[in-house]
Amino acid sequence: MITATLQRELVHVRGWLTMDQYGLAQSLAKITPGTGSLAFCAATAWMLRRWTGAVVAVLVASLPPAVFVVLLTWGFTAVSANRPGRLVLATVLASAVGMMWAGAWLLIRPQLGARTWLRTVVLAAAGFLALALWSISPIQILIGAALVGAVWSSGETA
Amino acid sequence: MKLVLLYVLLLKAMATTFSGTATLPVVRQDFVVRRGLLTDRDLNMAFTAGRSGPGPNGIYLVSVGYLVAGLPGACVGWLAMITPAFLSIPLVRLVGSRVDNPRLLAAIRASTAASAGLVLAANVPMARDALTSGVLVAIAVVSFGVFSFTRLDSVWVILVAALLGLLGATLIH
Repeated sequence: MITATLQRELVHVRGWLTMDQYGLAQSLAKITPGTGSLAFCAATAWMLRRWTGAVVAVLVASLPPAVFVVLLTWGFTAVSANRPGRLVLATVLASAVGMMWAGAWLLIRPQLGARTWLRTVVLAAAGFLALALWSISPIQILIGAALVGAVWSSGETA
Repeated sequence: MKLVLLYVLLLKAMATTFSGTATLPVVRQDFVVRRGLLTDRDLNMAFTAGRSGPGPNGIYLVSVGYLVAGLPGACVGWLAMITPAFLSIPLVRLVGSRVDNPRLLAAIRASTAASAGLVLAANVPMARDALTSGVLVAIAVVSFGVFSFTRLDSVWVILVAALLGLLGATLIH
């Protein structure tokens, strides 16, 4: 959502970035560890105003939601102290479990194309089994998967 | 817990994954399994708080920090979340137009695919803790469907779930 909004504003409406610069920032956001949308904000703002721009962009994109999250966490903790509150929290937490399933699905869905689906399914299943059955460290699993991916390439394009 | 250690642990989760949601298994491993600082329910609550408002996927780390060490912990969680974003700047210079390297993209996508499996595996104990009745399982399934196959914002799913809980609490009383 944030990248689509920025594309419209920065490239088409204001003309501050070319489509190539925008595309580069988007590609870099995909290969930068962590949250892609923040990396995208940092990269585009750096192209416009160097470090000052990058810092301001990341602050603006992350600080207000962070304050909101703290207030929500405080609220959740407070309501869990009484019985009706616990019932409400139980249903909310159940919906969050469903969202985590969806989160996993949304991570692999773009990779279920004709050429990449087998590798995607094998690696997702291997990741699940390695953690659930053998308790292998998630970081070791991720590094292992990246190495497998580098070898088992399926003609990737950006 | 020392704030520096909290920062290092949260940064490790962010710096070794390529999506906010994918940090979940690493965070669970460090905070629930290894150190016992949070329960599965706490982590689930933090994730819910993160998905209940605007902001990037990894914003739930702020909630994790808050639950572990109060407001200073929340600040540390926020710092850990934003730190890797600045890595994109040297990458603009270093990688430049070579960002489309197929082998690099394949490695990232493979790691992301494995992340999906890890998220599901980390979710098993959390689901066991949270889904204690048929109604709660049904809410989780509907939430999965809505979140996966519609464009409805997650906050509406959470709001409807909360209203159902409120209705249940009213009926019981």
